[in-house]
Amino acid sequence: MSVYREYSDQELALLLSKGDNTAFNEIYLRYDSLLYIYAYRKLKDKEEAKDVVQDIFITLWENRAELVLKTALAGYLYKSVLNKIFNIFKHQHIIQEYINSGNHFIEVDSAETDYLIREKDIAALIEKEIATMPPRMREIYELKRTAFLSTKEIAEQLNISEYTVSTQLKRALKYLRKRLGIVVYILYILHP
Amino acid sequence: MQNKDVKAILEKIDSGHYTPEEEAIAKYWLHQLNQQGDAGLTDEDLSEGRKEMWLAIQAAKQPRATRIRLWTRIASAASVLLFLSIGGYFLLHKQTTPQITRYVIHDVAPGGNKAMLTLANGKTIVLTDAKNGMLAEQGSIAINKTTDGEVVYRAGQGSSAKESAKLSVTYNTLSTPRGGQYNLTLSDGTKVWLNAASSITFPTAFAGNERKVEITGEAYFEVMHNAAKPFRVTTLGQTVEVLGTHFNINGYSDEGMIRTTLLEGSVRIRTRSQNAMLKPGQQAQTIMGGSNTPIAVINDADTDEAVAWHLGLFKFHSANIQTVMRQLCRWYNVEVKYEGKIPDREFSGEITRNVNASQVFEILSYFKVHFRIEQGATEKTIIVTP
Repeated sequence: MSVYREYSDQELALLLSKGDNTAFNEIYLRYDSLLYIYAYRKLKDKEEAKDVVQDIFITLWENRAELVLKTALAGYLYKSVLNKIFNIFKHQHIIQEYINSGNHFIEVDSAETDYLIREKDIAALIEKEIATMPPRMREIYELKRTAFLSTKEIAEQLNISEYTVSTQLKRALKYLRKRLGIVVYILYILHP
Repeated sequence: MQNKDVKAILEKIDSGHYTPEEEAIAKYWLHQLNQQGDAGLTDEDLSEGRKEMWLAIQAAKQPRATRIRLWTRIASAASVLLFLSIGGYFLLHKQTTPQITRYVIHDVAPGGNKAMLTLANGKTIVLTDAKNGMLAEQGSIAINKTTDGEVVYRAGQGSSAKESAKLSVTYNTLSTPRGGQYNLTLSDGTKVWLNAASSITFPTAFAGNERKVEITGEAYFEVMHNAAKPFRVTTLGQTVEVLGTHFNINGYSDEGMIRTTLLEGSVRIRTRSQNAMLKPGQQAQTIMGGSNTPIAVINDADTDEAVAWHLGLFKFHSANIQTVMRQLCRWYNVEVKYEGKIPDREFSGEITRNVNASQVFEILSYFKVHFRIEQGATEKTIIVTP
């Protein structure tokens, strides 16, 4: 089907740094809804959340040439959103409201935590969205997503037919699209 | 897991005096904030957000000088951009080295509500220029232009069915040029949408025991039910016979076949020697000029694709470039020329019809087919290149 959709985040980030617009589009489609949800959880205001997320993507595009990711793309995007919201909280004294409502605790593994938001925390957030998918669908989707296996390889690994994999994949994508709000315009090119 | 109180640190952040370590802790707090439970955004919110943010991002990606002008254009062409964003994304995937082609030398505005009405006495009325209101009277029938883009035939005051039956039948013709479209309500209440470069000839009142009209090009019908008077549409030797239903006939002579697509009810298709019944969702294909060729009935027809035009959309499903171009040429009133070896690709997707030709071509260029618009003495030509 589509080459870019098969690319890993790292590959997309590299293509983007070379000015690849399609890579940018793919990144947008992968993360716009996730980031919007994340921003909305903090800001509780749809317009404000959208403003934050769109600014992040605009900045990503404008700085594409200088884009050198020390961390994974997802981490970079989430942290950009977090930093922006942090500033909003600071300037609008929203933090005080949370303090007043008693919402001033954090969950930590141990007393000596370094308070770094790690890649795995971000990944866990994303996985949570996917985790609500029906099991078989999820299994295939995750194999495809994390291991970048071909349909044939998945079929072998799960001992099911290639046809089943491809229909399940289609269903999984459809499900994800619905869940993540991807709009229904689906285009494809059939090769001669 | 243990809970840690960070109240003191948050207070410091709020006061504006804090260390980098304290900032890190506050951000850690923010990251965890409200992460439990439902986010409270519906699928609609997310898809709305996707569109809105996308538009804002596209606007910001434009060079600053053109940003404002583009914004207004973007708003009007929202669905085109959406197509670009979501659709384009699927298309773009096929490209290994994305290329941007600048081909806009001359642009072409989309078609609009243009038509000409020819009355029984040969008099013609250009509907595009005509004022709203009564255009003419034919017998006891009043012809009104109600709004831009619609003509309504209505039995006049005091005329009874009996009287109208006595009238000698007079025929009018409504025709659209390339780049035109028009709506028509016949005297029996049947609604007709006429696509570009098409015509319909119809009696001003339906006397007798049938309702008979003739079309060229493409028309979508919503026929008023009347079991006593079947409705018959003739196109290039094919007749569609209905009682009351919704269907589309595409019989442009350059399409090579007449495609009749049924949405509701049932219709019977007749050629000189063949006939077939259609059920909703089916499409009949009759080869033009092949009166003895069996009528092909397609079971799973893409009805949305067939009637998209009357909703203001181009819609293609696995269409080749020639099919796409024939539709575009009729709507943008341009000619087409092919240069070099055009890739044998199939196009799927939808685009609104109310945008300039260049925007449509920009989208299509993602298929690795490129276009330029050349201005001739009187006509514009689209040159398609690989």
